[in-house]
Amino acid sequence: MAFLQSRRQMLGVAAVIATLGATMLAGQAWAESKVLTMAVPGNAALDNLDPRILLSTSHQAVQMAIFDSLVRSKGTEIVPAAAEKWEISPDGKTYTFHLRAAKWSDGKPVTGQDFVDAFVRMFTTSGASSIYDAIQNGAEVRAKKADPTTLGVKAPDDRTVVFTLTSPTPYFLGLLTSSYSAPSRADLIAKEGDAYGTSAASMAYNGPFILTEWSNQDKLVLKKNPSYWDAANIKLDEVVFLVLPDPSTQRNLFDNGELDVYTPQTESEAKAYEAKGELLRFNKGGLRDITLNHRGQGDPTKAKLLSDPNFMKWISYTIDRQGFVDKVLEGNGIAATVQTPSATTVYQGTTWGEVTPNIGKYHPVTADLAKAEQYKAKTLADMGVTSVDQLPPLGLLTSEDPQNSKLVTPYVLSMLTQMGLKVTLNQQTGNQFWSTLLAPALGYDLAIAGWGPDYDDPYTYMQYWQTSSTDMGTTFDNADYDKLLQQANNETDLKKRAAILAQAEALFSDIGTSVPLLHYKGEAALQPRVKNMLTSSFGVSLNYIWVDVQK
Amino acid sequence: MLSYILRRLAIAVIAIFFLATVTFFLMRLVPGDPFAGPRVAPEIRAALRAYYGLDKPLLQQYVIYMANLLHGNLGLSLASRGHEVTTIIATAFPVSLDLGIRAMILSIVFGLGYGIVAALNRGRALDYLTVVLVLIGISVPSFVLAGLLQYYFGVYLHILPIARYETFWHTIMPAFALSLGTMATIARYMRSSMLEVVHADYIKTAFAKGLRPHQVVLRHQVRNALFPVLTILGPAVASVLTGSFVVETVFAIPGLGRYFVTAMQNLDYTLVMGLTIFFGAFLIGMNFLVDVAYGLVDPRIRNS
Repeated sequence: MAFLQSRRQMLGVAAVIATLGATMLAGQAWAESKVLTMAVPGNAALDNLDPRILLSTSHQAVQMAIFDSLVRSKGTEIVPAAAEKWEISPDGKTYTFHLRAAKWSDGKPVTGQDFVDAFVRMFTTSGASSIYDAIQNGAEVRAKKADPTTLGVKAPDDRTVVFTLTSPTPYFLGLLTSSYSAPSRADLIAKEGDAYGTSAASMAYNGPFILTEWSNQDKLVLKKNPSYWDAANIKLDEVVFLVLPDPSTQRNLFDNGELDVYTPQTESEAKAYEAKGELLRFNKGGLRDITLNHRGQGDPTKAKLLSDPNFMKWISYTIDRQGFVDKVLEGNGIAATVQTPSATTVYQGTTWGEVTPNIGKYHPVTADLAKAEQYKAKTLADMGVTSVDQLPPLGLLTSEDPQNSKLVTPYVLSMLTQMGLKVTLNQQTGNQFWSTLLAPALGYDLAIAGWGPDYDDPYTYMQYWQTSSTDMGTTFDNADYDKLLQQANNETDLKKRAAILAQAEALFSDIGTSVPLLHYKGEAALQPRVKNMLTSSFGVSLNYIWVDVQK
Repeated sequence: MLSYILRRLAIAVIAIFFLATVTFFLMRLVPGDPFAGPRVAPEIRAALRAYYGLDKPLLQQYVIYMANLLHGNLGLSLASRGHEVTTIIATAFPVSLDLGIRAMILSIVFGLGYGIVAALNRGRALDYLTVVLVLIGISVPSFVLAGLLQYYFGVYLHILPIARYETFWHTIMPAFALSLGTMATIARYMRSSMLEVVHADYIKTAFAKGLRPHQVVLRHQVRNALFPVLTILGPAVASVLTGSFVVETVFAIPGLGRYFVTAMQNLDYTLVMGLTIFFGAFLIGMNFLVDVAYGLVDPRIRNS
């Protein structure tokens, strides 16, 4: 034989074969590594992942994987996370959490103090802390009227966290699922200063995944945390988030198999994916409404018109919610006649739709033009005028950003014009919209606004109409309403509480500042290989923590 | 030459000073609060304004900003919380620059080429073809072109990556999409300026002294025709190299272009200021280079 003449050559060949074999094995191992690739939620760079700095659900969608809060939401359940068990006092005002022995990614133990630090930081530096105002002294600490040490979050020892609330808050566990309440690292914040949260290396992690690579405008790489307490049930090895600002680029990448999840932009697109069996539909919270400014921007005539319940109902009865949802949104929405979606849980096993008597009572599902005429006549009488022309011209504030606004705004504008009102459209972007809508400006007559829920309870859709609220530019200053909510907060019997909330909803629906339009439906296209994607009706919609990818 | 450069430099500094001043005050005339947002408690908003110094009188803020600017400190971005404006620009600009240089090479090579070919074939099929291509290049908006390219080559033909900026193959579509407009403009200028000089005396002289046609075209006609093209090249280079919102968005390129739009939408005062000053300085720098290039092309300027 001419080749393999010597031993050395044979060894050489053997070495080559061994190397090839090893390479192939390694290749196989690489191929089996389970990676989920998604677009960065919100289609924009995240900039800062400190849970107490930027508070959008886009940020929370990444934070939920790298930080472990006390509890975690899993489908419709709330399951233990950093806390292995907890007790709630009989009066519902004291929550005691027992932490499991866990470590941060830099090796330090996760302590009760880390949670105390997180809440102190939240109330002293963070915008939306008011959703946690049930915590004793929370609002006072925010307003600098109380010392942070008086906050109702305490760590009696390294493995215990105790919350003291001002009122029994049945949805409190739901609030704690958010990454907003994830533990904090005071030492790293002190060390990094402003730069804390802006890079992978500036933070430590205690979640099921660890952020290992982050180029802000390009991509984030999350690797499985091998020392996570529940690592056995985490199937993914890696989650990659790509910054893809253009939805059609996302669709192209998804169609090419390079992206595992895509949120369809229109209902026809969704139906095409549905036909291929790639669509996941889910219950998603959220409300779109027309908000009326009862103060009328300081103009007494406008204020009188806008706070006239007859005017509010005239608009409401002119609107054909069902027709709009069916024809314009192609079914991608639910006609809303109250603010809280029917699927919202009000207490264990019962949804809001089952307890509220108000659905369709104050606002119609389809247009009722005869009734609209009656309300029109009443409005004109209230205003002491004889024709619509004599009513003051109104502005309709709208933003480019919210979901469906491209469809909602033209419809609302055409309805208002059809009523004979003189309406000018005031379309603003981003921060300008919020600056105009919110106090102190309250620079709108009518606004296309809405609400996204923070937890699965009707209260999230109701609390922001209170006099004390600064959310959504609300101008419903009604002492009776405030009293009802206060009463609901102090009620420990959940059925009675539901009845009080329904009463508050009735009052608000009758004379309030909002004409509800629609509730959202959630949808996402998934590659067939993606299994076990969970969804949520509040906070982050898609929960990929327990996802598995299969061949 | 040195005094010329120094004089230009002084003018540049003054221009940037004015630019910064005007932008600073114009920016504050835009209604809105950079920290406004759904559910931002008023106390927290006030605290944030104080932290970033927005609670001080405007004139004082201006003085502080200018003093920091002199030290090369552009401050912290208001929207990209925790990120320094200088870091943002330093991270994103190289990407835009890389893409921009590729696009500019395409624009100049093909733009000049088409212009010359069209002028030499005036009134013939090739000329009309170029005119049509130029028209398309100028009138097709880049988002249409970028989207079409992405779909056709990425999804339909599968021969180029759909988006992101990683390998050479990733750069082809965005560079082409970005170059087309400038390419067309250059071609149009080159064609008309070639035609302007074609009857000039020195061309006749060149032919009279027996030069071959290609020598006349290259040495005399093209060289003289480059002049007007150079004039538009300065601003074109500055705008192409600092990134494009549309192309960077469609191809998911982490460049500077998208900041020009988002910074304004977010009312990110410090980032808008930083970008304006950066772009202004870059534009002035490019125009300066064009002036130097005039000297290289035109011996009359060089020797004066």
